[in-house]
Amino acid sequence: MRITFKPLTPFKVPVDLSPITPDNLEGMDIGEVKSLQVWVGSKRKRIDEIFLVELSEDGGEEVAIVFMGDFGKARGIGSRMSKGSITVKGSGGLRVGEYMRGGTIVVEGDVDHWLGMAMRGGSIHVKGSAGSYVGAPPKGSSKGMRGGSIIIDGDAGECIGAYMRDGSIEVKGNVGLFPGLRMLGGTIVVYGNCMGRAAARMKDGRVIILGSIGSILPTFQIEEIRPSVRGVRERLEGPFYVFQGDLSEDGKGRLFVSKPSNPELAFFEKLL
Amino acid sequence: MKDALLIRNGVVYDPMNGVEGEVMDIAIKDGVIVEAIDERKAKVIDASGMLVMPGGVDIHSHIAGSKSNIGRLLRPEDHRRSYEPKTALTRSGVGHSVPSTKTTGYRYARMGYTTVFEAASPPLKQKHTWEELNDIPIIDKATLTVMGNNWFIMDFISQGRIEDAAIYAAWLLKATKGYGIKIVNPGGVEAWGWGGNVYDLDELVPYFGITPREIVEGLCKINSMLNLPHTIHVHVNRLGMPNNCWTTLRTAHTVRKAFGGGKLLIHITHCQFSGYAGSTWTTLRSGAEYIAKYVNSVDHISLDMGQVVFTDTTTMTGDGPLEFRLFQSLAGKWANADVEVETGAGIVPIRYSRRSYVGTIQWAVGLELALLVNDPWRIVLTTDHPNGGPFTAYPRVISWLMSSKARSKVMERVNRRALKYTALPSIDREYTFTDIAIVTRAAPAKLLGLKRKGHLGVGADADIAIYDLDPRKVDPSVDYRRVRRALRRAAYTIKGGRIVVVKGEVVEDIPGRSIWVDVDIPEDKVEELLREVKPRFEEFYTVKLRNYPVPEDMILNPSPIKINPSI
Amino acid sequence: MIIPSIVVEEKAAEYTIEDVICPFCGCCCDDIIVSVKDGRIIDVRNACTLGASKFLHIDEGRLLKPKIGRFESAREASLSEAIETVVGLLKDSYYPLFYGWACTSCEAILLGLDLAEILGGAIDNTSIVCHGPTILAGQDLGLITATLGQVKNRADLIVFWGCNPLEAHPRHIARYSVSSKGRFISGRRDRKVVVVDVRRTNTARIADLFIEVKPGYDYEVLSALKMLVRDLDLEVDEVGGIPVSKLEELADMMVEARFGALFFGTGLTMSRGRDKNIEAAIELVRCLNFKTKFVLIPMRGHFNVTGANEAFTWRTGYPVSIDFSQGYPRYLPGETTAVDILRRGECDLFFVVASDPISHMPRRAVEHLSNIPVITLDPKLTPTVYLSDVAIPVAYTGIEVDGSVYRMDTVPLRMRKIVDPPPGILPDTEILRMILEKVRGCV
Repeated sequence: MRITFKPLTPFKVPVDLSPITPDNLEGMDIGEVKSLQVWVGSKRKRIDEIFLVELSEDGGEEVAIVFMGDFGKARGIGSRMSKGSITVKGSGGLRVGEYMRGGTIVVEGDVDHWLGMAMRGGSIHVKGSAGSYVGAPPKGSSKGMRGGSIIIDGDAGECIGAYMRDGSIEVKGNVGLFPGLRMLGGTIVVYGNCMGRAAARMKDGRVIILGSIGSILPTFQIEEIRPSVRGVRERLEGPFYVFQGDLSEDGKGRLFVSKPSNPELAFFEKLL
Repeated sequence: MKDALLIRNGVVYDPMNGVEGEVMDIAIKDGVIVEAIDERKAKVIDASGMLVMPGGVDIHSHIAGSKSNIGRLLRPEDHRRSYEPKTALTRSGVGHSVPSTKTTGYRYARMGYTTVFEAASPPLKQKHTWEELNDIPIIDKATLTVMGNNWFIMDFISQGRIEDAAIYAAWLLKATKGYGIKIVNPGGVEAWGWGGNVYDLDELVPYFGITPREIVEGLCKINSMLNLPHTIHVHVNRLGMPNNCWTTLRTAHTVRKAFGGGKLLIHITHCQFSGYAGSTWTTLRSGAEYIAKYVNSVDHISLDMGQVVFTDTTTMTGDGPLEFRLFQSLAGKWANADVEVETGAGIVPIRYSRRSYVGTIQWAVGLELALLVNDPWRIVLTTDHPNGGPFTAYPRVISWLMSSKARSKVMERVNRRALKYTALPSIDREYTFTDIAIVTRAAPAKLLGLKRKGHLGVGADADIAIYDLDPRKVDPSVDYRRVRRALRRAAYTIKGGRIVVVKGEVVEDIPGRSIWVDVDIPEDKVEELLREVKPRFEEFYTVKLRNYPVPEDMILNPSPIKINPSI
Repeated sequence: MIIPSIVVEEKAAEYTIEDVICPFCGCCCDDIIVSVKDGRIIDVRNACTLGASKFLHIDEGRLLKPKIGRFESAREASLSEAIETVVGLLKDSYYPLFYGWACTSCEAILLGLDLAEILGGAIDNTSIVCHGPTILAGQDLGLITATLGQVKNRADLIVFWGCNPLEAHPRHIARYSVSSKGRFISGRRDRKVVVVDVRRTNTARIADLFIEVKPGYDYEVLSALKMLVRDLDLEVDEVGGIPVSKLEELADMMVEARFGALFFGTGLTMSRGRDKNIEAAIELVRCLNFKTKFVLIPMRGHFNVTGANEAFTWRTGYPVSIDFSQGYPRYLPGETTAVDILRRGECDLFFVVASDPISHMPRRAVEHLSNIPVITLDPKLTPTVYLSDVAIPVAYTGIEVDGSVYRMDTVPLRMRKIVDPPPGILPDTEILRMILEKVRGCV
């Protein structure tokens, strides 16, 4: 079944869409879906009070949800889902795919912060840009992303993959500071540039930067130069400077930085 | 309030007045238990087939003040797993192990607890403690004022000026609106001011020329000079270290040697954490038997359990060095907050695991203490909330005390090797309803000297808990789950004569009373001492003497107890 | 026995009050002497120029009457009309945002929390533009700190990192740190002072060692120090523009200190890295605690921003950025933070107490305020007051009304009323109570 939600008027206040997932909608008829309640600011509203809901009976067991429009003020699209698919034809808002366990989410626009928060499985593809804390655990927790894959076609903000344990995050554009902060495992690939401080306090895992990074933290040590490195699905051509760290945390992770994109790091070669 | 209330036909346990499971009525008027009332003008609660007890009294719980708030700050992830939305009658809140203020009050009330003592408050930050206590609804509250590392107390004692120390202590209690003298790792927290600790009762505290033994004996003497209603309340040295049960015993014994037996002299708090034998963590054993044997052979010491519960919780204590040691082994979050001239604080989240060797020993020690000490009037049920576990775990602890079967069920899933080094598997004793009424109500009230709490006699505050449990029909040894469930959500909780909880839900949000001790020392003696102390006070502290005390108008519903000292 | 709060007879036309607590910065100096004549403050002693200036200029630039209407459309209104208007606006809102709370008492802050909870709105305080990063780091790692008296009595090494107390917290130097005297320290000569900053500040002039760090490289430098303190090797010769030999000197000073104190300010919290800079500082102090005694203390700006964090935390579990819209406190930086809510244009009402966000917040956040009703409670005429649809004058906490506040090191203090506010002006607690009462009636 494929069901489409189109806002009747643009959202003015936060809208919590975490109940609208394939898991929750499974087995419901259109009437039940319309009568679901969600938080709109501090008020509870029925779905049909804020959305035009259209059902197309494509057949098939799987629930496919489509959100059409600007969902920049939404929270929790795809929250905890384990199956089915969600497509957002527009911007996705905050905490898209939080605690996701399976299924797929595609956002055609941008998303705000906390994309894939504490994700465990499934896949998210954002065609626009993302905010900060992609895949990170909620503030105060150290249990980060432990599975699943996130792909961002645009840029991303700071601390992507913070506290990550497993899974993969790929950003085609640029990222801000601290990708892979306190990482314990998993793989982060940044095809664009990184503002700096990659893999700070990493204990294990891999961060790969194909663009420029500016500088490396003094808590990392150059290990070798490698011609290529395994990305998420493919081999990435380098050559790459390979750094080990974060030594201040007795870390055994690896930071791969493209040699051609970072000529100012050439002095590290002397230390090899 | 002029409300008249009659609790009819309950199965009443009021051990203080010798009532053990009698069916009787309880009459309440103007917030107090009275002999009789005019039924026709009263609201009647039909308590037939229900267990009726005085409201619970928690003698030691960290619910308010600077380190509790640091604990809340440190645990956003703990708040997310446990929250309470607002209702028409109640405020919202969060927190599994360190609940926010409103939630704290409601949760105690739902369990039928009506009086809670904040376990340790540093005088310099006492205004903070009271601001938080004021925000906690329903329960009556008091605080214990930490003195065991206080520079002025230590200086006076080491100079032999015991009477001046007593006057200073009395002034401190008045300035903080405190209830009693709390001692936390005497001398050790002062050493932590330099990053150190003390490891022996006779070790000299750096720069102070005093030993922990002298601090404890000095404050014990001061306590009796001031005729305080509670004894000194002591968190002993070497808490949380292997083989520390001997320090506990030596601390308990030192005051007996100094002052003789025949009356209560010392309360050892959260004794479980100070009840270990075995010289290292890997050879840790329970030391509860040694402690219980001693407690059974003397009459001057009381304890509270400090029971560990297998859960994720937050440790918080004035024992700074202890928390640093915990951080060293757990390598997670750690907060530290020294308080100048007075004490310290440390906060570290912890998870007690049933698979862990040490965790199992800890779990066993608390229960052993309660089961091996013969006199239930000298042992109180606590978890040292939240150090051993949240206070919401009390019903579980009660079920363990009342049912050997309940204990066995837990023991099936703990670290079996550790159990061999405890006496718990061989203990058959099961607490009766009377015993529970003593260790959760009557004993703490009596030990604290709260004359109108912990019992249901005429004149007592009308703080009453009614549970949907017929003690004549339920065998707690077998049906411990029923007991646990019933004690979690009181059928009725009455506070000061007002019905605040019905069927486990808060139905009225009222403020509680603030209890403190007003030691009547002659004004001129205090002023003379303060005049002498003021220059040094303002040299050491970063606040002026005048800005130090808690202003009277800061206390909500003050309920002072006037005390006549012997000086 | 309780020490009287006023030295001389209250009814006299001219009198002096001692031990007054200064309501300016996070130092909350409590030895101020204020002279009052005919109900006005005429003299202030012991305070620094910043504090004295606040006491002596409370009559200037004040909002004297409630006003309704923005900018040129503003007109004077009675208090009851202003309150009615405020209540009407609040009732209609779906997601009001309450902001400010740094320059007022905890009593007022608790009332603000009451209001936000009843209305299901969001509430945030000004620490998000100052030491919010410190608080955030405190949630993930935990702060290793002490009250200021520990520094006064014990510290033989003081490090100022990214802060300039000589200018921002003038009396800190003499009262709490550099030249303070205590039980174990007799003054300046028993101490070493280090300043780490991006330029040679005035505070650097009184230091024994000044280290100039390249702007935006504090995180790298703190990381390097952590390595050195742990006796690990650095491969590089220079970090953040500082030769490693200099960093080794600093690391040695820190490890060899008997009691070290690291004070830090917006140089760390508001530069590249923000809360991660503070995390790096905490990590360094943790490592130092394995070798000696070391603490860190944030140089909080306003006199009760710490109290805002404390009150928020005991009531909701979180120190900043609370959302009550779903009936209970929720918190997530980037989602429930005031700046982000404004940036996304998500609140439909903005209620400000004791703060001037128009002057302090990023422009994009402030733009949304053209679209929604803005209500302000403030003693002064500020740009936010001019923008507000309703502004109600209130008394100065700590001068015209009592209040509970928390010093930068979380020591609680009780500020006292010294003089009356101008006629008709009430404490913000009174205004908030009046609003609450009316709101409770309708909700």
